[in-house]
Amino acid sequence: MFRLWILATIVAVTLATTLHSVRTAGRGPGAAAPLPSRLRRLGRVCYLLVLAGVGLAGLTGVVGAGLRGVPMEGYGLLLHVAAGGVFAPALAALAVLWADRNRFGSPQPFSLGQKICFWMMLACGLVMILTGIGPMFRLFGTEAQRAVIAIHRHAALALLATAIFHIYLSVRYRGV
Amino acid sequence: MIHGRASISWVLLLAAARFALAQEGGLAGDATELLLTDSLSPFVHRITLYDADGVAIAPDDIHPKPYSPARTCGKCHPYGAIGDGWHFNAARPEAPAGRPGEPWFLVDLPTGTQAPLSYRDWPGAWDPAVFGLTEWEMIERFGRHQPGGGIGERPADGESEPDPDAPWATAGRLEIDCLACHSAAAGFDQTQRAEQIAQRNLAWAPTATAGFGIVRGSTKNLPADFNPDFDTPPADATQLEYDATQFDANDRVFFDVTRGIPAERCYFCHTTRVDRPVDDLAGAPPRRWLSEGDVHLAAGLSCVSCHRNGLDHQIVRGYADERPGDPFAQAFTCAGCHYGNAEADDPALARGGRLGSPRSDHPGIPPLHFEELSCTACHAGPLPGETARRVQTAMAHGLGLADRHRPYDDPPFIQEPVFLEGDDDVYRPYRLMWPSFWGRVGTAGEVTPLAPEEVMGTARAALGARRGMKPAAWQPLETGQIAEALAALAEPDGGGEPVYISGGVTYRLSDDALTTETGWAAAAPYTWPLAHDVRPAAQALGAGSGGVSGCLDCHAPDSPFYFGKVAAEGLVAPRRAALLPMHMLMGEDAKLLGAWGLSFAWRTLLKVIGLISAGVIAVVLALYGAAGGRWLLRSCGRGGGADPGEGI
Repeated sequence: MFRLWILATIVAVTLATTLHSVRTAGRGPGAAAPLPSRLRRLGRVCYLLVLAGVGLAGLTGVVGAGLRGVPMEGYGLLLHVAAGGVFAPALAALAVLWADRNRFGSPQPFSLGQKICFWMMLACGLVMILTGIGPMFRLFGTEAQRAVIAIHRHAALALLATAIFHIYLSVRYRGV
Repeated sequence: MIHGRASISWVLLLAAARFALAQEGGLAGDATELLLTDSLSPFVHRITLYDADGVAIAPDDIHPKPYSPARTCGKCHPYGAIGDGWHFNAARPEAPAGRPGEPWFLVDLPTGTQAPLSYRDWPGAWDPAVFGLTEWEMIERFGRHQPGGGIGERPADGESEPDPDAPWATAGRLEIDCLACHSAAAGFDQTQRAEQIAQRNLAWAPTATAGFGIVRGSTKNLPADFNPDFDTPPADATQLEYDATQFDANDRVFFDVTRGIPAERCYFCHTTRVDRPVDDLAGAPPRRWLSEGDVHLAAGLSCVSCHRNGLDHQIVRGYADERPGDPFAQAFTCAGCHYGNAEADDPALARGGRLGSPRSDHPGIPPLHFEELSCTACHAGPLPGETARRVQTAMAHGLGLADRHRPYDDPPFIQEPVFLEGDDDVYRPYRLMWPSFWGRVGTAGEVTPLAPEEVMGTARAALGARRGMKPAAWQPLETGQIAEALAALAEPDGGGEPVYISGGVTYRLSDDALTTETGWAAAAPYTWPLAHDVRPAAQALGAGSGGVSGCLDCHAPDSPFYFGKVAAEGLVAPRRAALLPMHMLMGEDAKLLGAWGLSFAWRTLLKVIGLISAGVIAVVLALYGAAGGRWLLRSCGRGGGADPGEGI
């Protein structure tokens, strides 16, 4: 079932990017709002770390286990957890650094699509972090853990799709 | 010649009697013939004893014969069907082999042999015939811890190969002794079984163990040409004197029997004595009075609460795929009792909680563990330490038989717990023994064992000094002896290169020099899963203790589960066996396990980082979420769409 969700997500992201590029063809990039360059650099680093974490966790989780329909284990699981250890603080820092610039109704630099993606990334990321570390505590029984892991996987898929679309928009508008 | 005629006569007599009884309904057949009370209150078994000929026994018989369980119990119970049960059917070709269990161990100290034997097709166990052991010899060696039946009475069934040297004709058959399991009498003496088998009084064993009479003498003392039909036995031959006080006025005897078999009955054959860790054999042995036994027994259950059977005596062994599709067998596995079997039609079987078994949610343990580990991996056997422990068993070491000088250092050397991955990709604790035997290499590289007698006969010069070696004074083989024996066993006209296997090592001669190799399939250890004693939940792996995370029970860089040592114990000097980490036997990647262990050192930090990060993100979402909501409402009020200059 999860494999179907993965395939559906791939189709959805492809369709969304294609449709968007067709509809917005010829439009220019937005102008970046003033921000101290050090913070801009830090924000970019955090953004890249978030993407790296999402990429690595996605590679090990979605491709390594989800598509193959096998549980995560071994080196893959080690990398996955390590990626999570990078992703979580990077996303938190990014939230602090970029929240104001992604406020709806605020002027440039980000497009509405980027803003929506940003907040979705934060929401999915929060779910992922909680469902990632939750099972490490003696809180959930076996069935509850299975449910938590299922939530983690689906939130991860949503995050991955959103991140890809965010990358696309960022490249499209050079707004990061 | 006369002896041979007597044997044939005896066998024919038994066969004829069996046939006659079957024809006349002397043995209970199918369920419709059974004498039943259908009450939960037990039937008082005050019954007449019958001998093997079906003749009623009275205590004042002039030449009393031993009582026959087949005739006595078989009057009302389907002896034949019971004989197909698990405890009796090992040698039947049609009987399923089932999961490997504890085999019999052929131990021959003079030749340095310790080899697993079984009539069941268990990987790593040899058919006794391969080592030259006949069914008679198997009974003579191991009948002490068998309930009878099976090969003990196969000669009369005509199923086995004739063994002209076996004294079945005079010793009689070792029938299924129903009381071996079902006796509730405190005076039921199983050691008498061993004693009577040692005296070749097979047919007399049930009478002696039940204490219905005193058996003296031995069929060994019968003259070679003794004819039971015509000759009077000598005074030192087997004599039976019934205890008249046990017979009532109608010559009936009270059988104190029970369906609720007490654990003590099972323990006669299934006791273990846990010894020291294999790297500390000079230390003090464990104090048995500190042992608490199985938690299920402590809770008031008995072995047969879970290991149940119907009239067919196909006892539930209790593992998951024992009888696929049989919901009743599945109901008495660990998971079946505690959690139920969701696929069962019977709602009681589906719900679980049988016998009041608690249902743990196992909080904090990732579900993967329940797919890759058996319940026993965390809950059964002695708590694992840095090295596996030696363990003795009743079947292998004759526990249960009185002995003033039972050494701990007594082959076969069995170790537990050894964690391994089964063919079903599930990890569980095992008992393990490294075989030691002489063999010849076949053309396909396979090793065929040699019988100890053949080895000793051919290599007498090398091994002769070891003849008669007893367990208490046991000495390992010297490499010089091995080389000399291998040279003696070499056949100039081919016939297979002789090798000696011990402790996972294969010894062979190369240019007259002794060489050693490892990795031979025949040298691999024999292993079988262990499931008892079950420890209480607080002592399960993963429970943790003293503030230390339960995860570290297995995921520490030096955890016994992966890094505990197993000794490759053989019967060769010097006796410093190589210590192998369990992950090596599992075939696991040590670097990966080390990395996992290291990752758990950072786990607390990861949790802290995760919680702080989640907190920060939650605050940001909360602060900006409200503003975002207001913007959304405003936008909707305007008819939707982004702010000017805020294109998608």
